[in-house]
Amino acid sequence: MAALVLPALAQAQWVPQLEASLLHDSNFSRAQRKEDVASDFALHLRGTLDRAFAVADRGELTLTLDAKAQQNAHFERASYASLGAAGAYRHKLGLGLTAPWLAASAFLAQEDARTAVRDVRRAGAALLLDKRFQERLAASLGAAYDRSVQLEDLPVVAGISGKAFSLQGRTLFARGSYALDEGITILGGASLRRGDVESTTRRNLQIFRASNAIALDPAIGPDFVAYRLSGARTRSFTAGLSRELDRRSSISATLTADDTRAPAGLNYRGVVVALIYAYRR
Amino acid sequence: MTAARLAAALVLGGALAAPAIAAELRATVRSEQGQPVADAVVVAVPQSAPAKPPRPKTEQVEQIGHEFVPRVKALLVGSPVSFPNRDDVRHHVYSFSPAKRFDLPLYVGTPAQPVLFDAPGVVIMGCNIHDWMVGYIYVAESPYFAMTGADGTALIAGIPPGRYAIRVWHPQLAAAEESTSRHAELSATGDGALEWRIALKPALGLRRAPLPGRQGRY
Repeated sequence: MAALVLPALAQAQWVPQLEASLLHDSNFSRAQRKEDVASDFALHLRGTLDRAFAVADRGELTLTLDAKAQQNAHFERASYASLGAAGAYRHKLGLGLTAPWLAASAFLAQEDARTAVRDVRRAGAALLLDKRFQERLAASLGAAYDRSVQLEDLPVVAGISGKAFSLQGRTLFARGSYALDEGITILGGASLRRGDVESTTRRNLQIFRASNAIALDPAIGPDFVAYRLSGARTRSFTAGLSRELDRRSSISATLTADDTRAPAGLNYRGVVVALIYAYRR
Repeated sequence: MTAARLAAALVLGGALAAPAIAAELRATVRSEQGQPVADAVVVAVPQSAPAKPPRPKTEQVEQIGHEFVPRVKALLVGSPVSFPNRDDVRHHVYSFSPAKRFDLPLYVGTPAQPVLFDAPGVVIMGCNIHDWMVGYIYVAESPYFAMTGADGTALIAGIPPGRYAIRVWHPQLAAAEESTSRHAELSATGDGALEWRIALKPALGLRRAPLPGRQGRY
């Protein structure tokens, strides 16, 4: 194996990718009650450096350094910066355009928000099967595990954890893309996640009883509290349109609708609209 | 597409009205909208007597910046082709085309053995790692061929007098290549010019630019 990998190490180089997104989140607070629902605009910047190494005849190992920053327009104290690293191995199961790819990936990142309670360390892993059916049509199926650990325990109720942002979940997802014409691609996706969610609302008894971690969340407002709800199920649907500006850059518009069902009828919905510019060298 | 649209329009410099042209043929290829078409291959196949086959030379298709360079290459049947990889990552070049099936597993530098293109036809190449890399090799059965430049013009020089079937191929050609075929009698007494108007399919190259990677939140 070393004989295969080492020559590749000498050859590879870091490839930068930049993404700049303008987002609107209709339920940034992830609240159930109308009076607690808070929407916001945000500017999201992401820069990655990828380094790919060929492994054997049909494998590719990619290491990624990942930096993100988000500036919220209204809830400025929810703005954050993040630094992380990821590794992915993908293997092509055959020769040719329509041969599927199988990929496994893992990441670790630390997120520093302007409000201490939102500082988290994130980790995750995913398995993905990616298949192109013809020149125009490609689809993928995957499963992912995510975990975030709140760095500081800030309890507000005796005997109840203050790590409302410590969450974990498992997701099944499917994505597809169809090239309409020269440079224009339709995107679609659906996912189902089971696990913990965090919901920020004003104090209320119903969510207090159902939650298993509670912390003040001044990023949304002085009277807002973050609650962790376990056993929630979130369905997400994404649709979008992406235009290739040239061989290295694109502009895309996506809409993601989320529907979260948590125990005790604590359900909420949200829609995220994003306008994204992406460049990859 | 109608036959009339595909019909090659002879641009008469005077000489082509009669079946006599020079040993130099200037071919212009335009789209239906009249735009010049680059990277079209124009081939003149002798009908009266077989062409004296010249000695094929070794050709080259490079990989530069994760693309095939040139993207379209015309060469004579029997030509060996080397595929130097000028990138700093490995490529895996392959083709399933009936005219030449080959597979060059992941490599850097230049493979030791060139690939022999020993049958005429169109060979579509790809890279098994970088799906957007697509290239074309047109293997001509006749030594009299040329490719159009940005102005849509190709110049075939040194054609012996005789009767020729002349046709055009392009990666986006909407109709069969044979439907572009025209016959002409070439003589060594002057210059001639031919013009084709061809219907093109949309250029559906595989996307290289990044797609956004957002998933649903929770």
